[in-house]
Amino acid sequence: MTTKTAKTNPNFLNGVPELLVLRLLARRAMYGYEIVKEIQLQTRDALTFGEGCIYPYLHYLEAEKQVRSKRREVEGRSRNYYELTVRGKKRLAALESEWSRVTEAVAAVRGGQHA
Amino acid sequence: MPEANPIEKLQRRLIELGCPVKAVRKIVRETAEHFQDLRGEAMRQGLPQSAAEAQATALLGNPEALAEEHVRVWRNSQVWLRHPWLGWGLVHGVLGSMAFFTLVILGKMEVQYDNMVSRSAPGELTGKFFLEGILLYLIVRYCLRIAGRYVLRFRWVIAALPLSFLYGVIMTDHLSYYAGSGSSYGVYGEGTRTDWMIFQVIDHGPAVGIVALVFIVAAYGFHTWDRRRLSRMPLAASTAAGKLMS
Repeated sequence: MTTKTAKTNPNFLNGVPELLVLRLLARRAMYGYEIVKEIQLQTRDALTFGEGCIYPYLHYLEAEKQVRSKRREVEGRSRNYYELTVRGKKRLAALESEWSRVTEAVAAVRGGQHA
Repeated sequence: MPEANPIEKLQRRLIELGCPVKAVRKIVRETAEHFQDLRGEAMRQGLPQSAAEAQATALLGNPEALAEEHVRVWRNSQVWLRHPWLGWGLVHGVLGSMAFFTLVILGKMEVQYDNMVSRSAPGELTGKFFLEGILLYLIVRYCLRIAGRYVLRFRWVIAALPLSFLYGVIMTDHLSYYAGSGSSYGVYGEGTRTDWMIFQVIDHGPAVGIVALVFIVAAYGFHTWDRRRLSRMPLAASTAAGKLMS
């Protein structure tokens, strides 16, 4: 995943792709291209996945049994749809809790700067 | 010769890296579908087909790097490949034990206890351990090389099998274990009485060699068959995924 201004992954973005992908898949089953576009759209291009890089990532999540894939035909096109598993839901809850803790801590420090 | 499209390049690299056929098909198909979506979007924005394809190729990224990323993820998802020394050690231990008990069950090995004067001079014992150490090191290096080259864990497990078996046979040719009582210095001390547990391969001749050879031939056959299967796999252009590209 990259930011629009920096082409390399900042260290503090570790775990963010996992969080975003799991969050999107928690809403509904999606295929790779759809996930990439959705992230671009919802983050207003602030965060983007390398187009091809989504698949190694999805396969990793599948190997970890956080998502599962199914071949489905929608509007005459057959695609691999990924959906969240029970383990993926638990992982998402853990990641969201961790993310909230980190952002609150960072916000506290940043707020303190201006105090 | 026309330049191969990115999907073909991806597939070639995946095959070179020893990616399992099923995984290659899935990756190629998904990436080809993604490529088609990118190209379609570019064409809807008014680009001609060739420019749309060039844009889609650029967005997709370097196919070779992509294949390597797939393989890296695959390796990281397997405990055996994340910790090859541990994996090899377990395989070796299990197969060595199996070889040992097979020899005992087949009556090719006798186990006896003996209380006698230590028979091994210190230098002799050190030399034996040194040679076995070198042999073990070479086997481990070989298996790790296989593990590094291939994604599929069973290939190196199968390659490790005959080697472990052979190693087990060599190790159990005539092993004398110090079995407890007496001074531990008895192993090295001359004239010290110690208890020994002796494993002696009886008839270390054709029967054991033939079994080892069968393992080696089977592993080599499987390996060759698998490589040929991969090399004959049609490239993306002639598969369903390839048709998506046209």
